[in-house]
Amino acid sequence: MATTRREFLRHTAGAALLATSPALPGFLARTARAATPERERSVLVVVQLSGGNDGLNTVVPYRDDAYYRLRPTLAVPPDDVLRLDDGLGLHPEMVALKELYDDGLLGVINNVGYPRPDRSHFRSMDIWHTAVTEPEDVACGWLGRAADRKPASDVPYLMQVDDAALPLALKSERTLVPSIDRLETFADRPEEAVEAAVRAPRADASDDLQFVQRVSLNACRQAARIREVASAESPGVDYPGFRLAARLRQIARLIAADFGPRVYYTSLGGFDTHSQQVLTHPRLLRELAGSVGAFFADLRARGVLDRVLLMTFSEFGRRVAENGSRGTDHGAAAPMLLAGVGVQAGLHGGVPELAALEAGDVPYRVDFRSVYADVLGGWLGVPAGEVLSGVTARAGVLRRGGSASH
Amino acid sequence: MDALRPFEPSAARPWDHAAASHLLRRAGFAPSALEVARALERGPARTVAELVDGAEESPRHVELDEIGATLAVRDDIAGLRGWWLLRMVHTRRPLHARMALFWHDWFATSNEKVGSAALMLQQLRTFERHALGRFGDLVRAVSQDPAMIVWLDGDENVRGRPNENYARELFELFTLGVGNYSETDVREAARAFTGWHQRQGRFHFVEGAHDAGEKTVLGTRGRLDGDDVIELALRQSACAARLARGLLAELLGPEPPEELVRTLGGRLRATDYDVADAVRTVLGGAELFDGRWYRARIKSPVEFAVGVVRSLEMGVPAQSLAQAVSEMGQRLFEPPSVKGWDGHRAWLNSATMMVRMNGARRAVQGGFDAEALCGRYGLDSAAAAREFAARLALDGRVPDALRGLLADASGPPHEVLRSALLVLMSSPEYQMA
Amino acid sequence: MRSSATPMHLPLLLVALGGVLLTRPAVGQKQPPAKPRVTGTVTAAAYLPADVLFTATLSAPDRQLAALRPRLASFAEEPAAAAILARQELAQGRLMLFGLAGSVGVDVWKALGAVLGREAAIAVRSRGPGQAPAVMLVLLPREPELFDRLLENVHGLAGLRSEGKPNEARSTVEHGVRVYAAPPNAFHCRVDDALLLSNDRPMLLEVLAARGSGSGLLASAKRYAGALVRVPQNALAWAWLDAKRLRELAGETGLPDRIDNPLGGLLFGGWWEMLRKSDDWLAWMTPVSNGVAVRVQAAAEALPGTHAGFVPDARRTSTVPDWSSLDGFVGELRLSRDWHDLFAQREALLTLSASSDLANFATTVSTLFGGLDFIHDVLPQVRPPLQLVAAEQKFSDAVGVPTPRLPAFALIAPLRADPTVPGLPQRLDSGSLMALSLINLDLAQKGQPAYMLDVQRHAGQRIFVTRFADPSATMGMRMAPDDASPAGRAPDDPEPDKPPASVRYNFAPATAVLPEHFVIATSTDLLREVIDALTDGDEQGGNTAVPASAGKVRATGDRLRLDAAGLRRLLLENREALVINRMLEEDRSRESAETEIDVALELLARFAELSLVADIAGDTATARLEIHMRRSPANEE
Repeated sequence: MATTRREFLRHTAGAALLATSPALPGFLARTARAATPERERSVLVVVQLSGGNDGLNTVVPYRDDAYYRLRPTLAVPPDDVLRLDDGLGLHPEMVALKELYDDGLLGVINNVGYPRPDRSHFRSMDIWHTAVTEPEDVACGWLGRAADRKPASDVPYLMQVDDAALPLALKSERTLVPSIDRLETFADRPEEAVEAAVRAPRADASDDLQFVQRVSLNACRQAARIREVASAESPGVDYPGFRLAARLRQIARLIAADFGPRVYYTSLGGFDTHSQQVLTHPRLLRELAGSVGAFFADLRARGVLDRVLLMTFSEFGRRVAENGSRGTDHGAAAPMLLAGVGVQAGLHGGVPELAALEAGDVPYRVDFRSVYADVLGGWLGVPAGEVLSGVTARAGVLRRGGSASH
Repeated sequence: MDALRPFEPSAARPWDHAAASHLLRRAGFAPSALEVARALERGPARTVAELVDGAEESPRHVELDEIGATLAVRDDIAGLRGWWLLRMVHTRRPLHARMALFWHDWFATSNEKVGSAALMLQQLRTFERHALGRFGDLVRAVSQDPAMIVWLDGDENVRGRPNENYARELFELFTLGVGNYSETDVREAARAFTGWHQRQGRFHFVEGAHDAGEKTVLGTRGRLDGDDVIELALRQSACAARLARGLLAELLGPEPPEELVRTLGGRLRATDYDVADAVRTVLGGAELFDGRWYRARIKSPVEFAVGVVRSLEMGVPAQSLAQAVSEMGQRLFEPPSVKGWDGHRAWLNSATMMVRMNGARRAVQGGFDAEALCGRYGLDSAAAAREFAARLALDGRVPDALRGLLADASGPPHEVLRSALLVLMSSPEYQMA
Repeated sequence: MRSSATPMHLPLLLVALGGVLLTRPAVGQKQPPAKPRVTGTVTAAAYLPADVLFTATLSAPDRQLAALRPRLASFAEEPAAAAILARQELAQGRLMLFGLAGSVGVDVWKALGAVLGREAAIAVRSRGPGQAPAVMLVLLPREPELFDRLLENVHGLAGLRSEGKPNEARSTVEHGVRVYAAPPNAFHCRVDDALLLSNDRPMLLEVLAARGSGSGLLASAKRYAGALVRVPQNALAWAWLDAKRLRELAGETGLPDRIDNPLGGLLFGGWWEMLRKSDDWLAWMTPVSNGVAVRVQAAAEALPGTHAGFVPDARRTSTVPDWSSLDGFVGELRLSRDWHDLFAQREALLTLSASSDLANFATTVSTLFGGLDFIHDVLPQVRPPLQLVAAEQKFSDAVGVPTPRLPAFALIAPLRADPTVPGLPQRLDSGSLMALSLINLDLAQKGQPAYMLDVQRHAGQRIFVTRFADPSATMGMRMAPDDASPAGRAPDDPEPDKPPASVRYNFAPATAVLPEHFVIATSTDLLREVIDALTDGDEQGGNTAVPASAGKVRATGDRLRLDAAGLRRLLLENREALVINRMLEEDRSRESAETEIDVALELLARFAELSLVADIAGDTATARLEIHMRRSPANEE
């Protein structure tokens, strides 16, 4: 499975050779970059919902008696549900996502999971991060492996915008994954003299030095661009005061500034609602919906709407029956949300089959790796079969020939 | 042509400021002006000898050394990370520090799985003890190192159910390299290491878990145990070549010529893997001073950050130093995988580059005492400060375009020193060692 | 080789100077009765413009200095002072002062007293956004003659006067007063009996112009005068901040209306609201026996209904014992809050994200205490004040001494005598047990030292306690012996027999549900002592309805109390950890780190107790800080 270090060095060196055009002056390099084809600019934003999001109270089967019977205190009343069709509706706190749905920008994939679900947070999260369901020691995540398939580049392919530790999903064999929580790290624009020194042409620069010069130039330019974007903030878009909103806002800025990464990763925690679910879950959904809604309004205002696909997932859903503490315990299959112009808007994956529970859990109908395969192959232009060790079936939730897709 | 013949300064290759700085960077970190002056005075041979033999440690290093155990007991891995870096800042044996770091990369073990600062420290001590010793001793020590045993599942390696993790990496990464052993060798070697467990932070041989039966490893048959397997691996020329390639890539630059690899590999085998001899040969060899190796390596984050601090002769809070180095992509005690860090170009992307630039700015504008440095080196004019900065940061070999930029700076010498260093330490050339 | 020119911490320096200033016989008693503040003879406020943002005044600094002189002189000979005074910048100032004093033939104390005079004031005024503020210093010498001789010498040295004549190039006459300019931008003048010094020439001229008219000066400003009547006659110093003007200047970017942190919001939300709305803040310092008291007051409209939880009904408030009688008492924190009310109002009190964090916390606690609904079941039963006490703890030989070594903490929550939830004590009881088990499980999973749970009885109460299993059974928590000694230990380790142990051994949780209290402690010993203190009065009275017995008080408001001796013992026990921290985080040698810590310890030995009492009553928020010194500096241990 693993490429050896030597092979890999050879590979990197070769790729780097291609990426570096010796003696390419700065302005030419800039022009070359500006001419990057549109299809190379698609961006994936992953929002991890940590703790196990209660899928049934997110996308509510409001016609199902079993739902109301098993959840006497927690069920969302049918009249409160934001109806998507005559069987399913969103939780009432998710108004902003309902609007995206109505605009044809939201795809809801129900019953996503994997065979023999694991109910440990850690193990199940590892499975979602690695896209490997067998208990093997897998060192790299699915997005990290995707990054490893890309030619070596001086711009990061993956970026984490969070204060959490780097998720396994982003661990990569070859690339360093930058992680920021605040944009300020990059907003310190280098002094003019520094920029001038970086830009100044060098005689007889080695390939490596030219590489370093290009990376430095990129860094200066991006810092400048971020500052520009930050100062010319579109005032029309109001983000709510949530932490997730703040992070998505940073991501919107970075995308608009052409910072470079193709994948941004952030998270929202607190979904482990074993008790008093009413107190936290609706609020979390409001944070999720409000933040994502504002994010998409912002993307539209910045003119980059067609480049972005947002995906949410959680390590598992929760049990159908509520527990004695007005909460729910660890479950199995749950919905994923995909948003963006590249998505086949609407409902996918059917209705949760509460009549055919497996050990008290919603059975899975869509393998999460088929959604990954869609995202990798259909959006990021990465050979999904290579990354997902042979899994090639696609869920088919993306539009064909979506404007930014590969 | 023997490329590893000793370096003899000549008119074409003089022992000058650039040559001395080059050697000190490769054998340690970007040097202070004082270190360069001392090397110039002693000449290349004596400088290399002192680097390898090791000077007496500084009192500050000795003091710091003593508090490592306390940090480990607290299980304070972040504290140890800063502590290690601060020791690199204060050491008078920079080559030993660099080699310990080299072994940390070679036998890459991550605390993410080990989960014990005490074990990680114990492993680092092993690297330091054998930093310039015999490679065989080091491999034997690492094979019994508790952190390594936890890291590569040694405790699960028992008779009847061998766990191949350690045996595989021993061959693939630590000694032979892919293509120089078979899958059968791995399976059989794993059996030889059965029962090599750890308990309470110490190596613990479990007789009952050990498979004492006959095995065939790398063509030799017998009742082999772990030490026998290590011995067999060391006997392979592939092992010596792999180590030679690694050392050359570290000291000379990426993709060293195969001829050099062969020569150094042969020398390693002939000296029973005497690492000190190999390092002395490379650092004292004429090849290192061939122009093509000058600024041929991209500095690792540790080299970059510790180099800035050492060359500016400044004080630095351990935590912020560790934080910066981590943000640049080198989280000590947590290498990304058993393969270690990829190094060279993989260190740099626009984000990590930005962290380097910010770090250089913080050091130059905030951390260091420019006035004290001006006083120490008698920099009493703007021109003197400019020239000093150019030599300190870029050996005086400043690209013409930058020279013009430096000339713009004016003001008192310490201000000129700061603004010149800011430009020079943010330059692409400064990222190279 | 390396210069470790890290400046000594400013706070330490301030503490040091504070220590010197305070270690003296109560100055106030020896002083002549102070003059009325506002009327009467000329005050420093008569030389300050009315629109300052902040002003602070020292009353009779020369006499305070004279009273301090013996103490200061003896302090200067101590090693701690030597370490402070040896600093270059201070040494230079000292040298200058000696030279100056010598030049007019008085000793340095006299010279310093003459400079400070009978009143000294400083004021700050805004110079507009982005500009450094204008600062003005007013000194009113008691002996103008001596003062002028000193000033003349300074003028001579600075080249402002030569041959008895003012240097015309560096001074001008404004409003009949000669104003000197000293580079880079310091302006000063002698007028009447005052010396005015400022970094802002227009401000100086403004005062000179207004001097005749008497209007536009701080002394006649209504709000300042109105505030000043609250300052008692014996105040040693006072300060006033014009919060209203500050708010106007800050505009949109002023204080955010909420604190973006759940804990901070619940602890300080009421204060924040008062400070945010008050027009001026006033502070003054008065002498108390063996120390001083600083009182800070902010007046504003009373807190809105949403903030009622910050000022709970005094009738609901529980009595509290005198915690300082605990063995090894280090400190206590007392908070009077109606937690249930605050929780209900969280969206009005906290930012969105903070209130979300709080809700998450509540569900986590509910989960931990299995089946117990934290919000509906527990919070309404809790009475103010919540108390946190800290006391030293001892460690068993089996475990060793953790590093750093922390005191034991106990959290005491008074409960309603008539719980509205049936079976609350039993449920709290089983909930605690479940929480302890869950925490233990988590520790074990992470390979960290786990506890052994035990149920015991103490003073007729059932208590749950934990103790650590033999640490050697836990992998990796100890160093292999060859690395742990001897190099790994400081030569002066107080207990060389015990190997240092993990910081986690500081925490061995124990809980008790008493009839009217819920207690969580981090050591069994402290839990027992707390139970004894809580039940002490009850047992004697045999009846909980008896009013607060001796040693117990009905407490309102917030209180923080720190025992200097306890704190010092704590620091002493952690000296090595503190030294290590300084070595790493300030990149200093062991010797210099040790000196700094020892100076701090030596200074701390001069203090007896520090207490901060804070209360919001109606439209006034008051905080009173009392610092008590030891009668004689203690150097036991």
